[in-house]
Amino acid sequence: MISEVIMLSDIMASKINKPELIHGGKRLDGRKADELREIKIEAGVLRNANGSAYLEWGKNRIIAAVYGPREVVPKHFADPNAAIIKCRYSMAPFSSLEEHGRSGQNRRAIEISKVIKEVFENVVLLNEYPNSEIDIFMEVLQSDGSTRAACINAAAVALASAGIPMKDMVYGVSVGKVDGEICVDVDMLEDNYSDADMPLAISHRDDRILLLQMDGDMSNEEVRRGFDMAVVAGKKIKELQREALLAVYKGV
Amino acid sequence: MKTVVLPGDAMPEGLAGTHYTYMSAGHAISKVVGVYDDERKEIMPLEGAWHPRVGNSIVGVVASVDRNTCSIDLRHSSYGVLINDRMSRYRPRVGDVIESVVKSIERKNVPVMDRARPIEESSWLVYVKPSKIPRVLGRNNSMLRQIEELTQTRIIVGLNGFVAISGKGINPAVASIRKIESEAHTPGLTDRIREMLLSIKEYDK
Repeated sequence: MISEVIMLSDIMASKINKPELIHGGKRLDGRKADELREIKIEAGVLRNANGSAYLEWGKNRIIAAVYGPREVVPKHFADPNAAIIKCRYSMAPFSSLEEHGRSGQNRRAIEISKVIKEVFENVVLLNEYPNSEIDIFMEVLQSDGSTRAACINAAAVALASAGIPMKDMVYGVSVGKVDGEICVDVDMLEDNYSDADMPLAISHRDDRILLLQMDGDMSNEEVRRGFDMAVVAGKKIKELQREALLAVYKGV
Repeated sequence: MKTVVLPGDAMPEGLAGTHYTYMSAGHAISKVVGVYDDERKEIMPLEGAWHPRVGNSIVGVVASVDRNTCSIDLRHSSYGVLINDRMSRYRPRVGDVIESVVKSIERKNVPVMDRARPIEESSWLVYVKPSKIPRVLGRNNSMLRQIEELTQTRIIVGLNGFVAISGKGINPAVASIRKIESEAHTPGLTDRIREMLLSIKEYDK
């Protein structure tokens, strides 16, 4: 009897009622394989933070705030030669269809905070602020897949608007294998039923890979094709990030 | 011509490295969001923290007092150190607002001062983003003098971001400093502040 009881979450992750994700060459929401969802970025939205950004990416709604450089708490974490970065990715309890906890961090949030921290440790010029810390907070208000890539975009704009010295700007984008086809910017439904998904963070100027994770199976050739598609799609994200920052300083 | 540059933007050829750029393959690359001035060949950052330099005048709040030193809250990544001056009649107490000049920079970016003067207790203390402080001062302190003159106040500006205002028209002075902070990147600000302060004066009559 027990084996007949199927939890809703099992269905979500299985292929039992998998919808047709690509129909007539188009994805469920009508996009082509290399098309991004609609993106809107706004910089400097919070008054109390040193830098901030609000990002709408499809149905994703993300707010990022940056504080610092400021005194390290607790003090023994301080590095006398460089600043440290603290990163907090968190999903609001009301952000998705599934439960995301009422408070605090979970395994997934801790992992994402860690990988995003490592992205920014590679671009922020930490040695300019010894003995201090830079805090990056990212709050997902509404989620619809690829939130870690979206958070990286928002956090990069927030860091720049805080005046933190950086070698380069960063953008994030995800690539997935949906119904056997490589697609850029997978949403939640595609992610749940996809064969593989691969979030990437790439630097603006020299296309350096700062984050590459992968779930599922993709061949060498598919990964390479996915990366190329991400770089092409990234041109639009770069432009939007620039526009968001420049809009704050109109009239120079 | 002035253009806004973002982190990672390549600067025009021939620009040597400055404080706000780094060199990569012979090219100067911007580190910050700033305005690049073609004539002066330099970047003015639009945002960012204060970089203490020897000779910077500062305004801070005494955070703790020890036998030989005081630590001063400068809203910087580390507290400033004030060496107690035994010859001076002024003895700092916790909570005092002081003005001083950076004498040296210890390793770890700690600004060190000796000799501090207390700021009178009737003053108002406001915090302005350190990147906007040059605009509050204006060229040769012209903006500061204008505000002082039109509002009949005395304004002490710390390059770390604290501004102490005392005198008659504190409210219009604070309003004009806030206006400068939000419009720091736009040209013709001195005239607009003048207009604003004159209109406030008429309203008061």
